[in-house]
Amino acid sequence: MNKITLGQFSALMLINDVFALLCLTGGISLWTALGFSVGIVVQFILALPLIRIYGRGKNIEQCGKIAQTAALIGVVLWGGLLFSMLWSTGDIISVPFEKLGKWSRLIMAAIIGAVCVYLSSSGIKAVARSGAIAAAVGALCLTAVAVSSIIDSDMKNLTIQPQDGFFNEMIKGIAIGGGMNALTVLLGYTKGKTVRTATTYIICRLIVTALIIAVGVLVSGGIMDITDFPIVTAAQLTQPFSSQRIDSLFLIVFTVFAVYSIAVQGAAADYLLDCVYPKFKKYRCTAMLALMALVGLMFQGKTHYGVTFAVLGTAVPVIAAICWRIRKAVKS
Amino acid sequence: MKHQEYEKRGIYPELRKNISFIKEITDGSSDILVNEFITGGIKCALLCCEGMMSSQTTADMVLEPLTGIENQDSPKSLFSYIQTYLLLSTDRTSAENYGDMMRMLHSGFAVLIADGADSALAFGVQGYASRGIQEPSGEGNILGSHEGFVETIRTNMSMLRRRLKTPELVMKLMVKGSSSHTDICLCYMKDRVPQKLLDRIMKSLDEIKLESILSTGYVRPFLEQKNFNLFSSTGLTERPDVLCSKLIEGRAAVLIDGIPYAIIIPRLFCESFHTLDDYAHKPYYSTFLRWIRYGAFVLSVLLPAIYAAIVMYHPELLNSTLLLLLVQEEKNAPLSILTESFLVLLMYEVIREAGVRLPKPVGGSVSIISGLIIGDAAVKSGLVSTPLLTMTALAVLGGLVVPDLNPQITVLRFAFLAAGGIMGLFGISILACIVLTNICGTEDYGFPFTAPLSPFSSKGMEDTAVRIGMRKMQNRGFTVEEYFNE
Repeated sequence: MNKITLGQFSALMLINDVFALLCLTGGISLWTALGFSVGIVVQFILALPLIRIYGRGKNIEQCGKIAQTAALIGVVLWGGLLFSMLWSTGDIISVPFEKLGKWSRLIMAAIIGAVCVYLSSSGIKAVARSGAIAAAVGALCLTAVAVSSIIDSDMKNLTIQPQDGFFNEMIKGIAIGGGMNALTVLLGYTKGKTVRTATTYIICRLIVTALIIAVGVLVSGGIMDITDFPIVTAAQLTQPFSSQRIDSLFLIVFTVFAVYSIAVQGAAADYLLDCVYPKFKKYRCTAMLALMALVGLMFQGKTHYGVTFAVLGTAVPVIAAICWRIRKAVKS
Repeated sequence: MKHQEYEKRGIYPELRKNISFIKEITDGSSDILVNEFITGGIKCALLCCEGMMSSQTTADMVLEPLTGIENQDSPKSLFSYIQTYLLLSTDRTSAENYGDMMRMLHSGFAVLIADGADSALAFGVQGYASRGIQEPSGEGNILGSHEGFVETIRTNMSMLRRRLKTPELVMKLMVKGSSSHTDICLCYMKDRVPQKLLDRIMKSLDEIKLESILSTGYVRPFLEQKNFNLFSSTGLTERPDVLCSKLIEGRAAVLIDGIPYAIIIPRLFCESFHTLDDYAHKPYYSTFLRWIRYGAFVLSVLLPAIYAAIVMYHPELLNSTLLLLLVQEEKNAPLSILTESFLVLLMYEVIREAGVRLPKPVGGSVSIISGLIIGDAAVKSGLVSTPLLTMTALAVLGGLVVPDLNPQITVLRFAFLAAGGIMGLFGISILACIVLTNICGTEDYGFPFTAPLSPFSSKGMEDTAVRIGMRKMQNRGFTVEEYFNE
């Protein structure tokens, strides 16, 4: 695998996190922002041993087959979750073929899946480079939404009662942070100081998460009880102009982020499968993305914010670090 | 006679047999002239290829000195005398076999053969008709030089040398094409070009086993990666000053005899938006012009697609006045917006192609008349709506701002139009992801095509997003090696 830069790594990871946030369901409050932030810090602390190991020039290849298999399972499950989120959220996104009813979501997911096959098979370097540009454009659009939300925001919403307790919000925050599984692969191939890279990413993630949730709370706080997707609703309610709507611009961000989130998982899974089972050469990427789509179908209609998914979001870096330690101990 | 049969065959010492064999090789071709004469008491023949050599130079510089040689003991001593005492040409060489002899003969050398000699002497007396140096037709420039490359490789090499009078500029000639024997010249600044780049270019050039090289398109695929890429990672220029600026940045270039273009390796995406005039204007104006070009490129690719997508699927993006205006116009058009757009774009492409292929005096008129008449008639008859025609015209005009990327812009415009017309902004976003990844995945010899944007280089952005002043630029010491990423 070729090396990617700090900026590209952070962009890919953040796209993943932002897409998961865009698809967030259920009520949100300031507690959510706090819970999610603590969840991110917990994830970072749990991943720290692995980050430090990678800081010594190691990567997932040195962690052994068990770690690689665990990472592969983690990446495939998270990729499946992303597909599932896409299907669920696709309902409220306006696409030209929505007249087709429930088929429209399937067509949308199939098109995105097909594009992801192309992107993933182009290699992580190409995806990372284009992802950095896409992230910059997305950040610009989201900033426009955030700035225009000032007009539509209601400060009273800051005081709305949380629907869940702090612990539940934290678990939820960790559960939508399954992108950390891809970190297990990508961080080992990032140029520069690994700890600095990971820390920069985590700080950016904290800021972006807090900002998006704050916008969501400020704009859609008043109708939180009747909205399924608070962040998407916030984007739809945020209109900077009185005589025209910019909902469709959000569709662009949503689509691009969906493509890159899944493509990164596809590229990571492709690489991990090559490590675990190198004899599988042809159609590796397609097979992995098809598997993710199947997992997505399996998760469809289920809530993604339980302890099981939180474990999925934290276990892989921990397992990889333990495997590396054991291998080192056995060798010495 | 086949090429392989004489390529390595040694030269016959008997003059008669030698001449017969040459006639056999050339099948009595009329342009091969054989002038038999006696000099130094030995029977000789001077072979020339008509039209490839200068008759005046041959008569004055070769024939006249040759005919006045005193008697010699043997052909060997005759050749030794000529080599030692007569400077008939600055470009002198000898041939030991018929392959070399024929190559020289066809390159405009005068070849001397003698009875009893198993080798031939060759003198460079080239003087073929060629086009004079003119202003480049495709790379317009207002404030800089008005010289462009010509078809003769030696003239092109001299134009480079005139601008870079330094021993660091190296020009290596080689011959490619088993039938065409085309001269190819690899140019680089030896103190700036990355050695890895040079080695890989040489390796790529070694892979060329073509029969003939008649355009840059014969060589470029060998210098680019095998994967499918929308954009070329090698560039073309017909301006010696542009090429010099690229060589100074540590790039390499390939000149091909018979083609008034140089291939630049590597080329970056952002360079398509640079012109030499940018460095002649004030930095603020150059920066403004560059952003105009970036904007024109995006508009030219996306405008028809966005128009179709918005009008067909996302009218809420328009304000009420604009929406009413478009609805009013489009409701009178008999065709769907997508079909209309395709028709107008195809019509433009047909007119453009006709303008290019027809003789120049007719071509221009055809373009103008057909554009005006067909365009006007289409709008008046209600076949095409005015806003759509305006959008298409703007998009086409935008594409002409970046002529380097015109083929890609044309194809992408159609592709995005189809995506936008069928799937709205969703389709445009999806296609944008594919195109972006394809562009970002383009990388030859370890130089990312999208540098300095991604991977980001702040130093590179000084001459991409903006154009810094010359005082700062002279201290920059920039070479393309800074983008090397492997």
